[in-house]
Amino acid sequence: MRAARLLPILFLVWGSAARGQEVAPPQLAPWLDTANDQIVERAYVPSAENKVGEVRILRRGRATVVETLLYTKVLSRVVGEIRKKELANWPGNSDAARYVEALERVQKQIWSRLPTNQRVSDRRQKLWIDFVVAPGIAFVGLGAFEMKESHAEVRVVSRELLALLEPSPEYVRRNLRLITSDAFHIADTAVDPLLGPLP
Amino acid sequence: MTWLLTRGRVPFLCVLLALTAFFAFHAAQIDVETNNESLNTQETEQTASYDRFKATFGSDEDLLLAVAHPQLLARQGLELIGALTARINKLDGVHRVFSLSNAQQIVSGESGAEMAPVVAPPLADPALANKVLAVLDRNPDLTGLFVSPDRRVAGLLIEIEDRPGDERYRAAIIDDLRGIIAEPRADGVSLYLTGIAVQKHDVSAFIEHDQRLLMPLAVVVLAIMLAVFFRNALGVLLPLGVTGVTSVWTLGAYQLAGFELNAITGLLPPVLMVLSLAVSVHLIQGWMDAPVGAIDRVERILGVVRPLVFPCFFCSLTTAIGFASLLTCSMPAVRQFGVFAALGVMLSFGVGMTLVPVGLSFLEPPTAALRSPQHRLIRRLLAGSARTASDHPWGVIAVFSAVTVASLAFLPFVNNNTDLVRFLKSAAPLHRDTLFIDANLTGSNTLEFVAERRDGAPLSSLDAVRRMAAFEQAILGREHVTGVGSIVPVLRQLQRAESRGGELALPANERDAAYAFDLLEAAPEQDLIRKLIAPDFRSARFNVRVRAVGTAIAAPLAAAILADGRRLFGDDYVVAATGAFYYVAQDSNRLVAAQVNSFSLAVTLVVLAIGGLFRSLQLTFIALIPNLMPIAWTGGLMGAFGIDLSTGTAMIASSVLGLVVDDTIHYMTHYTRVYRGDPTRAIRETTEEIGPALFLNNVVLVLGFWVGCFGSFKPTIYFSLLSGLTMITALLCDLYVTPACLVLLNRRRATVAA
Repeated sequence: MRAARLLPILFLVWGSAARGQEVAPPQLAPWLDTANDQIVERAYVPSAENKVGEVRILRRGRATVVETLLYTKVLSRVVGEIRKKELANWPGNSDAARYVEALERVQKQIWSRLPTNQRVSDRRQKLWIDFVVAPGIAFVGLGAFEMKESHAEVRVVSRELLALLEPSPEYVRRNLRLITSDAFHIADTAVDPLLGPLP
Repeated sequence: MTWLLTRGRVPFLCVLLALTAFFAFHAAQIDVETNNESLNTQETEQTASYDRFKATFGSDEDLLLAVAHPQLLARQGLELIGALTARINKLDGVHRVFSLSNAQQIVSGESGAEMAPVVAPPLADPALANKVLAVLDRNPDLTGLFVSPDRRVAGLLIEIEDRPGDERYRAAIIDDLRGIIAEPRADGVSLYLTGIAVQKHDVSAFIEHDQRLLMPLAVVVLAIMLAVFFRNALGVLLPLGVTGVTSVWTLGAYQLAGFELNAITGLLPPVLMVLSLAVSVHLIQGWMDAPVGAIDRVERILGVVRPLVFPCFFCSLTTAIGFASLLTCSMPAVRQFGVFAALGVMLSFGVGMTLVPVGLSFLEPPTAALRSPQHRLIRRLLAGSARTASDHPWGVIAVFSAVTVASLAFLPFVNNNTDLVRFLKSAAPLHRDTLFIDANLTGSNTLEFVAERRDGAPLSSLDAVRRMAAFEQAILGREHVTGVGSIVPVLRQLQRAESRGGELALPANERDAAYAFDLLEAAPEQDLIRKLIAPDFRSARFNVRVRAVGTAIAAPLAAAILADGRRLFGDDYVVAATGAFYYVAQDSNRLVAAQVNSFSLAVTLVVLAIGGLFRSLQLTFIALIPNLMPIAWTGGLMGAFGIDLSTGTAMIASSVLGLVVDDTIHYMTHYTRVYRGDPTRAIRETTEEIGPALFLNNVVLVLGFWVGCFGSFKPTIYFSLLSGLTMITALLCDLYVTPACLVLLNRRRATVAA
């Protein structure tokens, strides 16, 4: 009797949690599984002294992934900066416009989850962005994550997919290079040794 | 003593010379304090609180350079501000310079609030002045510190690095800035500099200047006075020798004790010179007045020394007690002054009682008593005073009491006020510059307040923000306050930019407040933000700019603001006042309280000393009357003429009590020795025999004190002037009130006996 009364409430809670969540199509789902990720290289952004997150170059099976982990109290500012760079790199490009729109939507979704009436101990908003290139596949995933920190080392303990985009492979490949170049402060020509041969 | 005056003369002089050379070596090494540290009281809690404040928010000793320019916001004016900012930024020891040329405003950007320069280049833009005016109108917090309300004066806030142990770099910065100020400029363009560091620098410079001026001046004045009265080289050289030895020994000991000269102890050399004369003057006057021819030179000297040893010792002791009572003060500078003045007095007794007789032993006694025109005049005046006091004792008491009552009526008007800027003469650059900045730009003093939650939680809640804003408004409503620097205006600008609104407003809700603090945490200008709120947001600073007022206004103002803070923040918060200027105000109040204690102690000890000397309650009481009267008169004079009770003037009562009581001791000791049942005759004899020495000693003391009037600091000028005046009135009291009281005492005894 008591369980029956609780059911509608549980559904309500589940429904609200699931509302913004994205479900990856079966062909892409394996490329979002981080269980066996191998970190090739990483860099704090914009700098180790004033970091708002980090960019990691990963091997995920046969895929090459450039993963951006943002953990900052001023996520909207960081997203604003990404938007500026993106629109400057891709003027008039519809893939870029869709990516920026998705990024801002995810940021707002994460922001809306912060309690409004109290000050929580950790007000950092955590957003991940994966640019994934695998044989025959190129896509962008965005979402929220939870993390643990030990000696300034960030370990992702859970991820939630909130947006999935399948832009043109050229867009994804080019952005892998641009993000790497920007985050590691290296010239475009120096990116290849870090990324390796893209599938 | 006989041995000293015969075979012991040469060894004595050799030892004296050797000791003097030793102390002279150390006296020559005395440094001048450059940080005014000894003018701050040693309150542990106060020091700890100030240290915590500086550790959290940095130093509150910024410099402020004002630039007056007829076309301040046009290209020429802005270029000058930019050039000065860049040039001063490069000076060694300057951390940062904030001015219109690098000031930032918070504006609405694509992603919300972002920083933008107040003066956006190019400076050649003909519309720039109007643009800057619009920015200043939109951001009223910039007016006051960075630009005057009439837009003709700009302020450059110069933040100095904190280099513990390095006392010289601040002076170098101020010298460089004064060099920049002195450079020729276009018509109507002028620069002004103020700040606590400038004050410290100038005080040190004035102390050095005063040392160079006052010491030689005191020597010249004393030499002239001694020459006029004694009319021979001996009468000049012997007292100056005692003075020189005493000063050198005391200053050498001062240096050996590890002290540096400060604004108060800078007075020690001239004061010591004056204090150490009394014994010599009495001895030489006695030697010259001694009966002629009957005895040899050693006997003649011994005949003078023996009756004077006891009263001179007591006089020195009471003078030393007066100065030593300053030990009760919590201000190190005043304590040092008291201790070393007391030491000097006792040294001068020892040196005077040995060097003067030894010196006299080398000389032929005069063949006749000195009878110069001025001596005849003095003797006539003295005889008149003795006659008046003897014949009309009640009349004398009535007149002097009336003056005392009138003085006491003015005593409540004495204002306890320490005004560091007005301590300096009006022509002093710091005085002039500070008052210009105060009138045109912003208040030159700052009171600091810190607010924290009792539970240690951050101040980023909406409730805390609203309380801080209410406190800011309450402060701004107070008279003499010209502005408040705090995190509140920054939060208002952030909210306006984030909400893309036109009006300055506080965060509207809890989330906005929290986000505003998130933005502060991530802002690039952390240096500026950290001057207003602690990194963890747990304590907030309110930097209250106050007009150039003294502590008489600042202390109650700080108390009222504290009361506002405690009321508006409530019991969950702690609000505390701190900062260099606040502690000056606190110290001023403590100093006055300490002086009351010090004076009470001095009176008690002097009463005990006189009681021990005369072993009579009635004589002790009589001895007190002519000494408390002149101090009351001086207090009344201060009240009537608006002379503030401050660091310098607060020392007068304790210091002078010990000095003025000397005349009474000499007078009454002599009186009791010559009294044979006829008080009138005893008074006439006493006045005639020791009156000239008292007169001469007082004139020398007064003129010696008045040498201090040529000093650079008003408190020391007032100390010198009023101490001298007190000596004059004390002599009057001794020549009229003391004999009048003695006559009345005799009548009473006669009545009781009958």
